[in-house]
Order: sequence, then C-alpha cells, then structure tokens
Amino acid sequence: MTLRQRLLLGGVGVMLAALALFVRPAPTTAAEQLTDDQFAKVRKAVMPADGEDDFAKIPWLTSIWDARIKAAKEGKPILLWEMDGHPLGCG
Amino acid sequence: MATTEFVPVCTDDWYTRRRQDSEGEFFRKMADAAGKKGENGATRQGIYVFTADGTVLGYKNAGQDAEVMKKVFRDALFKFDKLPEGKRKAGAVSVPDHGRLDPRYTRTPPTGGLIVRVNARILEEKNGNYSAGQCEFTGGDMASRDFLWLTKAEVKQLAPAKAEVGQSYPMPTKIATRLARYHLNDNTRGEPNFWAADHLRKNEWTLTVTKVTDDGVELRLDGGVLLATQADPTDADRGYEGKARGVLRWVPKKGTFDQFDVAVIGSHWGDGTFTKRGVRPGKSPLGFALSLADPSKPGETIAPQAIRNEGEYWGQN
Repeated sequence: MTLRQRLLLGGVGVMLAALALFVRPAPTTAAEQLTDDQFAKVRKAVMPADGEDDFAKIPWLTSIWDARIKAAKEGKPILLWEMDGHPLGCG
Repeated sequence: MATTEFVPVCTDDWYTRRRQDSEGEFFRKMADAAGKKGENGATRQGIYVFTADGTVLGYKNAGQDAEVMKKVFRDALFKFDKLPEGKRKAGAVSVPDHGRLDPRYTRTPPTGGLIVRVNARILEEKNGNYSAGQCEFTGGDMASRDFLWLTKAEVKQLAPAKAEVGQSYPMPTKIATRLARYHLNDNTRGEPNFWAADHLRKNEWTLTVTKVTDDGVELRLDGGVLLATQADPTDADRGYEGKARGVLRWVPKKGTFDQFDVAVIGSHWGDGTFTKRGVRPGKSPLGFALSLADPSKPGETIAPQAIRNEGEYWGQN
C-alpha cells in the first residue's frame, strides 16, 4: 500500500469516526433503565438522612418584609441569612 | 436559638441587593449601617441581626465557627434587651404596607403549577449499593437542594392524554429541557454552571401508564441523559451521563400530580466557576432525587437557582 493510499484510508477512518460522533444516541433500552430496586436505593442514598437537614427544619421566612411584621408583632429581633444563591436552595 | 429568640429569614442576595422596592431599600439601608455597603453593586451577603425598624444589632460573614456565631447572637440579644421599649416591645413598631414589588427581582411560584424538590448528592457505588460520597469541601458530601417549577399548563401537558395502561408518551420537550439543563447539575459544592442548550447530547424521558384507579393514574418515568460541554464527551471538561426512573401519579379530579418521585443516577465529571474546591477527580457517581415540595412552607417556595434568567428558565428565549 502506498503512502498516498494509507493517508487516504486514514482520512476516511478519521471522517467515519467524526461522523460516528454526530450519530444521535440510540433511545434508552430496557437494559439501560433503572430497576425498581435501584430506584429505591438511589433515592435513599441521595435524600437527606435524619438529622442532616435540620437547618431546613427551621421555620425560615423568605421575605424580609414578612420578617419585619412578625418581629414587630412578637417583639423579637430578626436573624437574616443573606447569601448570593439562596441559603435554602443553591446547593 | 434561631427559632425561639429570633425571627429567622433568609434571602438570595442576588435579588435583594438589586430590588428597587420597599424591601430592597430597607435592606440596603440596614446593610449600609452594618458596614456592608456593597460598593459598585457587590454582594452584601452575610448574617445580620436587626430590629423590625432596621436598627442593626450584629453582622458577621457566614462560614464562621459555630461558637463565633453564638457569641454574635448573644451580643445581639444583649443589645436588643437594652433598646428602649419603643424599638423592641411586641406591637411597638409599626411596619407599613410593602407597596409595589420590583418584578425584575422577585420570583413567585406559578399559580396552579407544581413545585418539585430536587436533592443531589455525590455518591459511592459498591456492588450495586449506593452511599454518600466523601468530599474535601465542607458540606460537599451533604444533599443539595433546589426546586423545579412547572406552570399549570405544563402540568397538564405532562399528564396522560388517555388513562390506559400501557400508553406511553415522551415528556414534553420544554419540561425535559428544563429538567436537564437546570436541575441535573452538580450543585453539591455551591452555585453550579448550568448546561447550555447545545450541551444536551441525549435527553430522553418517557412516561408509561402503569395503573388506573378511580383515584388516579399511576405512571412510570424512564429517562436517559448525556450532558457534555463538547460533542465528543471524551473531550468535554464537564459532563453527566445518567439514567432515571420515576413513579408519578396524576389525579384528574384535582388536575395535578400527588406523587412525583424520581431517581437519577449517573457519572459526573468536571467542575464549575464556583465549585472547583473539593471536586472529585475523573468520573464519579452523582445522584438526584425529585419529590413533591410542600408549598405551605415558605422555604419550599423559593425560586429555582436557575430562574434569575427568567425567560431562559421558562424556555421563552
């Protein structure tokens, strides 16, 4: 095989490989689906464990104005956690 | 202490410091007095203690040692008790009506829509079992939280057209796109970079009716995603390949879902602008659990992290 033929074949190979990258992935098959068992195990592992999410159990208000009204009514100071990204929902 | 001695409130500073309404003006004035002036529009984040009329009692950056914060709170309570009764006694301070809200920087859940809580966590897998992963970044091993919002119209589009066992149909594209782009992100170490529209290499979700009763229609959700910053995932500096399973229940009489339990598991790699610390090398398991939120709790009605760009979140751009 000449150098020119090898380069040509190599080019075809690269082109086929590139085309393969643009082929739409096949639809999810049954083998790729999560089983009921996996579904339960993943949810259990991901969701907050008992005691882990105590911060979220605090009855946080989400409006400074509502906090002012409640604080005025109850005679309490306001504790504000101010964060770039909501403290209760950005990670 | 947060519950008994104080009125606890938390907000997203990205919105609050920009709001041109009563709440924004009150906050900026109070933060200025606390010395957190936010020059040139910079963040004013931190932990503040103040009275209903805006008198500052304490301020500290977040992320402090618990004992440091306890001292800040104790000092603030001491100052509060020393204030004249007109500033602290129950009913002594009058708070006026809020007035017009700044629509550019306020977000409220869509009326009649659905709020779905989205937890994410880094995981370890061993023999088909999953456990929490380990992370060098403090809190990076904990479950993150975000919320997926669906409009009333989208909820109806997600429902089965026919309540017949075996009927199968794809999740509406707009919902599938929102779910993948904005809610399958690694936000376990803070604000993530969201997927761009062209990062969705595969995004397939199918609903199948599995049971029909007088009370509702049970559905199974199967899904598969490949999200990557490059067309060839092996070249992508960030990606996620996962599969999903869910159990949903549509209640025709109520016109909504009363169950929305979904699990997603897959391999994630790469980091984001603000999530570089503690990133695990290579590909590692990242899981998601979706469940209906409780909209009666204010903390479950906060806006999705990605909805700062509202038009894009709703798929209007």
